[in-house]
Amino acid sequence: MNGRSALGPTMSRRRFLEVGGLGLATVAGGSLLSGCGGDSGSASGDKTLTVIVSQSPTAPEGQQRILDLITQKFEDANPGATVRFDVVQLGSAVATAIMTTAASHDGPDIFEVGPQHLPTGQAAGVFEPITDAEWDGLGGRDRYLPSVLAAMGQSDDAQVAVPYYASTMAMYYNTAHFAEAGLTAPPTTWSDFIAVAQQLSDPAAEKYAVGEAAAEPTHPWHVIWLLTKQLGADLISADGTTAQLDADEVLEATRFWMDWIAEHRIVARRGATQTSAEQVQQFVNAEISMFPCGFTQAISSMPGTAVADTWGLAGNPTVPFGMSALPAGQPAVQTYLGGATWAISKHSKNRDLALELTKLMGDPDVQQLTWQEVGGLPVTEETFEAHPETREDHWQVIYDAAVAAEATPWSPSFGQVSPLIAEALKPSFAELAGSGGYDSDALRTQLQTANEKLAAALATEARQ
Amino acid sequence: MTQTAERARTATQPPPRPRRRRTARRVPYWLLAPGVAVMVVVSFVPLALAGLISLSNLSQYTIGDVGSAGLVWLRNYIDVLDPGSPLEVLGPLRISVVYSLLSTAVAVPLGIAAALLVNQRFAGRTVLRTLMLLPFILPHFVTALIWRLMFQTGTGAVDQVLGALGLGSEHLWLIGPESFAALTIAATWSAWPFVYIMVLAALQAIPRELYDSAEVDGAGPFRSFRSITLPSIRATLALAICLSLINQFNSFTLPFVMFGHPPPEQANVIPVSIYTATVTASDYGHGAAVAIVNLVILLVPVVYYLRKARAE
Repeated sequence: MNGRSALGPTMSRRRFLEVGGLGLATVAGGSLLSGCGGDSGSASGDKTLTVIVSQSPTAPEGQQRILDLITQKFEDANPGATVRFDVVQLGSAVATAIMTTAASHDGPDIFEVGPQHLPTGQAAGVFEPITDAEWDGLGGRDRYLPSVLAAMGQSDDAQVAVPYYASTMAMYYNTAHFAEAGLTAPPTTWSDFIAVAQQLSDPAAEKYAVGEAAAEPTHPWHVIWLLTKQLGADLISADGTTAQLDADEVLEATRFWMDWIAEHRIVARRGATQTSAEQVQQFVNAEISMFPCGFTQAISSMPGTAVADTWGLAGNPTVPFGMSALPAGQPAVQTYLGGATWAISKHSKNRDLALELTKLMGDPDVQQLTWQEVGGLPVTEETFEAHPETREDHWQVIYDAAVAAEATPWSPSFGQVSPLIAEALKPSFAELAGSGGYDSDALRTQLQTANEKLAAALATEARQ
Repeated sequence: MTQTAERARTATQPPPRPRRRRTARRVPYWLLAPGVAVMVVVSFVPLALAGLISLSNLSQYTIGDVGSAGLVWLRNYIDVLDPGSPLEVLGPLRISVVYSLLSTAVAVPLGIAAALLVNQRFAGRTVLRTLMLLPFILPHFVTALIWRLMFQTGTGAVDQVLGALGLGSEHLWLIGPESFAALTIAATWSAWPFVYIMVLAALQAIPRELYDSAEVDGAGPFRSFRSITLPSIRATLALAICLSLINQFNSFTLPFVMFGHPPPEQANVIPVSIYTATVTASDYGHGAAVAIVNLVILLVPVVYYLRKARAE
């Protein structure tokens, strides 16, 4: 018998070595990874569900109260079944657990992740579309806010996760500062925003109206995505195949943002080195008058501060700088959707139980407690009926923004957009912090470099 | 007479059984076996896996079915070492080499000086020895947080001191070109106590008599240092330099916590690039290739040290 026949008629020796070697790596790596995880999912017959969630950075005790409520409801409704929450302190630990599960085909039954992680989990083969029958069991798709549901999958009938709560970007402003300046309403166009901010600023006296968080790793992509969308473009093409970080609209959006420091002088130079926490701190100390693209969680920072009775919330301006109205047919984009979703592992041995548990997350008492404890906007219609306070006052702004929110491109490579943009903008922000200006050509080059890296990732994606 | 009787007794004794001799010879190997097994599982298997993964197309798209990843052989290495490739890591490589050499070059004389100082007898020596160990005892995470706070633009202790000295009060230590200096300073601070400990141990092993004889022969402190101290600590110092270089080159926590992710270009070292490829991009093939390149570079000081040690 020759070597060829030993390997079979269709497999070359080289291919045999490739598959064999990687197969060995699978077995060894999978065993190691599952061993390291030490937290394998429920075995067949065992009615214990494991849910991995990242710890709330602002309200860990409140989060525990929510988890206790869910546990009690689930175990009362499913005698003999138990649920165990694996609360991890780093958000990236959940993303790592998704990859570990993909390799070992074992792991938690449910992952609590942000909508932007869903494409990656699906590409890794851990999340799979929820079927129509399963949605019926969950109370139907129409139980959830349509815009939130739209962020759960590549298409309307291929959602891979169930929404838990939503958070959005909005503009925080100081109503007392506005009243003192004779301003009656927050700006709705970026031109008005600049005008209002300049009215409230006095650069000669080192007084700047707008706070910034350019050094927050995830903040740059939030701002650039929003401004780019408002200009009618996106960071990745709609079909998810083409990187567009070098598009003119992205450069225009970035320049406009940087000009808040360089040209319009409504943000202090040190804004280029600040984080979100510092930005919010400036606002609650009444040192600044407003900051756009702030997240829902900042609401919990307001009570008991100097602005407790004088803070307001408005949607981000939607009309690009230099325009008085949006071009015809252009949607008014205020935000993308953040928040949390529950995605059931394809490798869960208790998928039915996992769906039961996930269904509970939409119940009004769980949703209301989540709103109260961690500041997450409810996502089920029944909650707004049972607890109307969850979309009143400031929450009406969040609700309106969530209803009109745009989904980000459904691409497993989208996760790279955030670090790539942050990396590309960092040298220009360093210049801004140092001299108050920036080199526009260098910025373009940095964006082109970032685009090449994103294109390489998308090319890898396309080959799969 | 007695000797004859002894010889006769030995001659009549049966030789040890070959089987027992063989068993006795095997005992050390059996005793080593658990340690070797742990080494294989903890070090060699992951290393072999990293080598294999670096030749593959393993990524978030193929990790669920590793067999489908396929081998790309040296493609990943070309991608990370080709200056024209968007995935190249030559910049981080250069920064890692320079920063490791620089921080070690500063840490070594500092460590030697500190060891020579506390090798003398004086009041408070024990307290000083303990204090000098602090940077070594602190977890890297804590060290990084401390330096992050100290390097805050304008409000950090470093800028406050520089401002008071008239050297400018607003430096961009954490986001701009000065981030390389910030990284090197922080790394040096955490590295010198290791050199100090190693050298101090070597100094304490030098017989006092050598210095006494040198003094009788008229040698001054500098001559004694050059002719007695330095040759006596040379081997230990070489090991300390070698290990320090490896520690600096492999340092991940310090730059990651100090600068966040992604770091500024000037503080983007190789370990952070590995993190970017594997965790952010879930591109395990390229990440493993960078890790193997990292390993190969680290072999340079290791091989140098081993050759020197063998020669001596």
